[in-house]
Amino acid sequence: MFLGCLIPARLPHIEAISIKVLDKLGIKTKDIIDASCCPDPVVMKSLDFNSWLAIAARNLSLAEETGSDILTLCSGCFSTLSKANHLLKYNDELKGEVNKLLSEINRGFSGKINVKHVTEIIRDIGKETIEQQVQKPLKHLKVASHPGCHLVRPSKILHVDDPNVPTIQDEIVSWVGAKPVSYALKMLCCGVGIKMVDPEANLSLLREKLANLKETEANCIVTPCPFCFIQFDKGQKEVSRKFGESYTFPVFYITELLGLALGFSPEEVGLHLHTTPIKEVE
Amino acid sequence: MLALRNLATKEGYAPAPLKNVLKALFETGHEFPFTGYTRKLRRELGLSEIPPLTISSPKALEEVQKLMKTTGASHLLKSSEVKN
Repeated sequence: MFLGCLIPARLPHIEAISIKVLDKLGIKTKDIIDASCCPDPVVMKSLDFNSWLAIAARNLSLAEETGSDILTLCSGCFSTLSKANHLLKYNDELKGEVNKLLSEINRGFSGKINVKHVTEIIRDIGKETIEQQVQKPLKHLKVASHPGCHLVRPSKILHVDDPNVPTIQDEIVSWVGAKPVSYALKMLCCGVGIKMVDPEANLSLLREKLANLKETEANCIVTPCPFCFIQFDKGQKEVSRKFGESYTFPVFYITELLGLALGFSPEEVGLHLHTTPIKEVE
Repeated sequence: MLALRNLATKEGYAPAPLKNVLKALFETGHEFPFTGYTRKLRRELGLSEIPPLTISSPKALEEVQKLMKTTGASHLLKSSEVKN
């Protein structure tokens, strides 16, 4: 498992429940030792593409040494590692340049593994197995899925889901007994990617999304991305304060929702560590 | 677009918060710090205080820094190299 930075450093409860959920579903995870930041698919690539690719290639080479595919919990890590893997697998010139860099640290990229996001893994486990494992169907939850940007785009490289009408998360939501809720702005970015350079636009985007959700019957949000998770979980407070409105949607990371359905307690899932209170839907 | 952004960075126009990401990556191998609170929380959750990542491996950090120096990324910031 490629841990990344955000989850182990800021949201370790997501790391903990993801390991427990996967274990219960029969999947043993092993950390990729010595991995660094993926690095960031937006910031680092914008600053220096060559460095972004070289560091991503180093992380891929660490996984290649284990002989296992990479599992990521973070959509950002998934984006970087998948794109770098694709670029290096299908561009011999780039692969040659990067391998020259990697040789200086006694490493190399060969292109023999694949990168998967935990959402794909859960989808591949399948409806039947998940439904058999559900101990507490989440019938009281009406869930708005927020896919985020990095899990589904660019679809020609990632091949995870339909980039315009993604359905994976909604399927998983229905497998755990909850009701998926559709909404017009499902594909709108949550805004977190521009927070560092334009905090105003960041909150405006989030408000647009939240206002749309308020028009639906949704009583919570689920996302496969830890950046989007933080944006919704903490950002609702900021939006409410700035615009004089009230947004209090409980927010779940995808494995938290599964964890509750599989019978883990709210504390084991880490709900007490959320910023937006979640008691109403426990 | 990406090439233009990279060029702007070389010319010194990258926004300061973005440069901080570069600095953190060079100095620790990670974008987000593992604070005392994080370590305590990880322990309470039954996880290792510090995961087995670059943050806990001087050799791994040396590799990341070498890549950043070779590609020129480390020259984009004024930062002291982390000595082992």
